[in-house]
Formats: sequence, C-alpha cells, structure tokens
Amino acid sequence: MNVIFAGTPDIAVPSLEAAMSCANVCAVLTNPDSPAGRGKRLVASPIKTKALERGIPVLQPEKLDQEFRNQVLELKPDLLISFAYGKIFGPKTLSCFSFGGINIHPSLLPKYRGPAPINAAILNMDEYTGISIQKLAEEMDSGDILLQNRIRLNHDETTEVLSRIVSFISAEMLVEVLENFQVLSVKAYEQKEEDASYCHILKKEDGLIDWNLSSKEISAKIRAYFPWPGSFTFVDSQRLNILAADLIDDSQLNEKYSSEEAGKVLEINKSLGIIVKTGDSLLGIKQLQLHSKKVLDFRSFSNGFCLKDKKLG
Amino acid sequence: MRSITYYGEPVLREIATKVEDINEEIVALIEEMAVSMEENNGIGLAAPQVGVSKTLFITHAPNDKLRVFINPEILSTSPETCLYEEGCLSVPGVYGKVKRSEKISIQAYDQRGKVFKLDADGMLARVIQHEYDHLKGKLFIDYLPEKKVAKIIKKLQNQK
Repeated sequence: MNVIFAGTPDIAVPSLEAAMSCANVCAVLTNPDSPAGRGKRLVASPIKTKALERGIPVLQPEKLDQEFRNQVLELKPDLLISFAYGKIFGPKTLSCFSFGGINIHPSLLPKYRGPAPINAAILNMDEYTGISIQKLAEEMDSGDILLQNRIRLNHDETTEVLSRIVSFISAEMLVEVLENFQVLSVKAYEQKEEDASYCHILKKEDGLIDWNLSSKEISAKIRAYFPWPGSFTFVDSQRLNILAADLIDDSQLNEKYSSEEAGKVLEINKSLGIIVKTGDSLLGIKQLQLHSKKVLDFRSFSNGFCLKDKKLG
Repeated sequence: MRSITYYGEPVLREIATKVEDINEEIVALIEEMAVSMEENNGIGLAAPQVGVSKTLFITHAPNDKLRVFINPEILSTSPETCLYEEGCLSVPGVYGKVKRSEKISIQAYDQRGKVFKLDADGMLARVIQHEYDHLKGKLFIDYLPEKKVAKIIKKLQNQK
C-alpha cells in the first residue's frame, strides 16, 4: 500500500515510523518550516526531520491547491494518514487517494473533537481518555471509527507525559489498522452525533489560576496546561508561572488553615512545597517561575523570594 | 460479563492449558472479561479468574490501553526488583506488598492471532507478572509472609 503521511509535531513521529514498518510511505506532508527561538531561525518540524533521516520525500505546501494535488497524483497514493498535521483536507485532496484518508485523534470520539483533546481530558479529570483512528470526513473529527482504544488516566499526568504515552499507543494502533485495513474499513462505525463535544485552541490567557476552585481542579489545570500554554497567577502584580503543584493529603493541616482566604500562601513546607489555600483545601506548589526569571523548584525559589503571607491571584 | 471466581475455587490453583485456536469463542470470552475487569475497576484479569483454565489474560494499566495476551511467554525479567502493594479481584479486600521485576519482556498472541513482543516496565510490568502467575495457579498472597497468609485465609473463610 502506497501511503502519504501528514503530520507535524513530535507526537506523530512514532506513528510515521509505524507506517513505514508496514506500508510504503511515498511522501511526508508537513507544515512549512516555522521561525523558532530568539533568532527566529526557520526550524523543520519533527516529522520533516524524521522523514529526511529516513530518505522520504517531503511536501510542505502553504496551501493544498491544484498544484499540490498534481504532485500527489503523480505518487499514485492509496491512503492518506494524518496525525496533528495542522491543515484541513478537502474532498478534492481526499479524492487523490484510492482509499481516502484516515486520521489519528487522541480522544474517545465523538468526545473532544478539535485541536486540544489531550489537555481537555486532563483538565476535566476524566477517568479515561483514548485514541480514535477515524476515516477522514468533510466535517472535522466526524469520520467513521476504524479503531478506538481507551487509556486509563492516573490523575497525576501532565499533557507532556500523556502526549508521549499517546504517541506510542497511537503507533501500535496504526499498525493494527494498516494490517487489518479491509476488515476494519468494513466494520467502521458512525459516531453518535448527539454525544459530540468540542475543544478549542488554547490561548495563553486561559492559564490564569482561579484559587477559589478546588485543589483537584487547580491541580488538573496545571497538569493540563503543562508545558503549554502554562498556568499562572500574580503576586504583587508580577506574573508568577506555576509549573508543578501537588495535592496535600493532610487533614490536620487542612483543619488548621480551614478559615484562611483562597490564594493566601500559608507556609513554606520542606516536603509539601509552598502551601497555598484553595477553594476547598490546600495545594503545594513545587515548581514556579517569576516573570522573565528562571524556572526554580520551590526550595531554591524561596531562598530568593519569600511568598509567605502573600495573596496570590 | 463473566462473574469472578474467588479464592478457594480450585480453578485458581490449576495450571492453565494453551489456547489451541483463537476463534470467535475466545474473542467473545476476551470481550466479556474486559467488561468484568472494567466493571470491577481491575487493571488486569486472567481467564482462570472467570473460571476458564486457559492461558490468556488481559491488562488495562494506568496510562495504557487494554492489552490481550494469549499463550504468553515471559522472555526475560530484569534483575532489578521493586516492592509495591498488590490486590486481586479473586482475593477481595486483601492487599500486600509483593516484590517483582521492574522490567519484563513478554511474547504472546493478540485477539487477531498475531504474535507480538512487548517490553514493559512500571505498573504494566507488575500487572503482567501478577496475571501470568494466575496461569500457573499462583496467587499474589503466596508471596506474603506465612503468618499474614494464615490471617488472610481465616478472614476469607469467615466471609463465606
């Protein structure tokens, strides 16, 4: 089977390698090199880097236009595989592939259609998330499901960690789909439209912490937004980024501070971190960063800046 | 859904026999076992735990998907071990720390009849070793100190 693999970030790299292990990847489709770092040098996507390393031709169109489709048609591809590519495929593009296209989407579709499903599952403290391999349809993330696997969440994972886990399980699932493509195509089932939910592109300002929420909700947000877009609060009107925080399971301590105001820094505890009052209990900040300063663990941070008795928010 | 067999039932002590043919019946068994495991919030379930003495188990460890292991063979175990508290759906209410290899390598067939090899660590490695023991008629309480086991058995008999 001749396939074109469309993807851009790290999460798609194991799937590209998986596709290469059981199909002929005749080209890779990835976003144009983008400026990154302080010098704003143009940087190749992780998928492009992997493709060049393995000697696969790379296509980086700005637009999926007729010129691009002509290039694709010359390759006589059977299947398009997409995973976090960054552009939407129209019917004209899909018709260049004899079997159409499939897409890897890291959620239990029809739940969390859209661009940030991993963050959404962590933020909403779901018991399970999952990965769906769907046929590419005209409406975003609404294609028939070829294969879906659930992933049990541990409620301590960050988006960074869960993305890495998803990248490996997706690769395994892609092999299963490619090896059983005929059978799974026939058995593919429609998504229940009435159960559909959507997630949106995250913005930096979404990361503002509301200390009136419960400790579990705040912890979920910090994990869901790590490493991007990050969570933050304010201290003395300076921006303070919170990179990691743990729940505190200590009823005596909870009792002691039960009448404090949400957002108040209560103590710097050697093992529990910088203890902050939340809407329902306490949270221990473990890693933080003052605006434009270095990321520090709470001990080093507290050597230079004492947060005790400050009000965050 | 299949009902769970509990401590005391002889099937849990039998050495399971190989699955000769991965047919519809086996696929249906796996599907029912998956339902039983999830309903009981288990992270692993071996066929003897639903009264079927066949070498087959499933796992659903945290941060992992559902995995099926038919006629598994553990190929290697790491010399590094770790201690962690285990429980078992067939020995309800009992928990105890068991020493297991940190990493293992296993080969098995999946529900489509395809052979695969998997290197596992962390919780998945632990669950696999626990379930693999079930196929040999072994339970996690066999690793616990004798005194503790005597207490557990008494407790389990009182429950009946």
